Amino acid sequence: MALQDKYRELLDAASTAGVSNLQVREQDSVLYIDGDAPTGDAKDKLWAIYNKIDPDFRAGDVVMNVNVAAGVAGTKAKVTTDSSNLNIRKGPGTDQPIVGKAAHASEVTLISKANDQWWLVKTEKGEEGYAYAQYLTPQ
Amino acid sequence: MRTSIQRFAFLLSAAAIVVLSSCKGGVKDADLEKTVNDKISAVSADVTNASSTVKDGVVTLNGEFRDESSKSAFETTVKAIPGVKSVVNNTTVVPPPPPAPVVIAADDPLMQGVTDATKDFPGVKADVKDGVITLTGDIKRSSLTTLMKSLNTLKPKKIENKLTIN
Repeated sequence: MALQDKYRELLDAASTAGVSNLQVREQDSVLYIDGDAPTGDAKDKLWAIYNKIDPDFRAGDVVMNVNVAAGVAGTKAKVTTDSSNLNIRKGPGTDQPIVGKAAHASEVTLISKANDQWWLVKTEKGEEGYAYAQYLTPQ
Repeated sequence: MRTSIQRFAFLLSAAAIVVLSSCKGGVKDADLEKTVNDKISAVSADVTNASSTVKDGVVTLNGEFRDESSKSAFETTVKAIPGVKSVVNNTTVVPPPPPAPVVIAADDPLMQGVTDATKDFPGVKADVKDGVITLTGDIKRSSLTTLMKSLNTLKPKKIENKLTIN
């Protein structure tokens, strides 16, 4: 329970922000926080609080798997890379050949989610393939 | 004369109190207990080891309800029974089952995921062993959260961050 006290502000924020399917479990001295955030902004705020409680994520006592509940096919997502284009690949993995690029700040259409990391998308130019979900922000 | 009127008035009010209080306590404890037990039978799916005692219209409830809402709903039901003055609710609620254990990814898919997540951070080296991701090398502080967000979705056991942060 000590970890839940340490990260109380984070857990409270997750409830307040409307994270659904929120699950908080403590196992082998690691706090596992799972759930679906309503928006990318809500997720960013949780990460800011996590970074405040544990500066630079040094403690290694949290695994926070809170993702934006995106999801339905047809949802638009913005390419939120730092500045570069986002690779569109043939399959879900960086070992897969690149079949296209989605420009920084352009919008792609979600077709389906292969997993939490890789989403099958269609670019504005009509290219279809897998993109790394970390760089996509559902609109 | 005055005293006899006063005495009569006193007797009259005393009689009224007796009549009123006997009306108020018109339902016998034994009858109340039977009614309460009937109500308990009606919610038998929600409660175990339930019992009740009644004394002077005060109902004491014991037992274990399956959740908080069925417990409070039953208290409301008992309070609404005519003749019940108050309810002492000593019932408890079954503690929730322990949560399912956390599922940790196997090392092979985890390593694959880590490779994907660290691809754009050339200074970062990552090792995976028994579900633990260990990060070494260096990274810009502005990129750290982005990397950690990705790694945290991979279902690792934990993440040891030994990165040098610039």
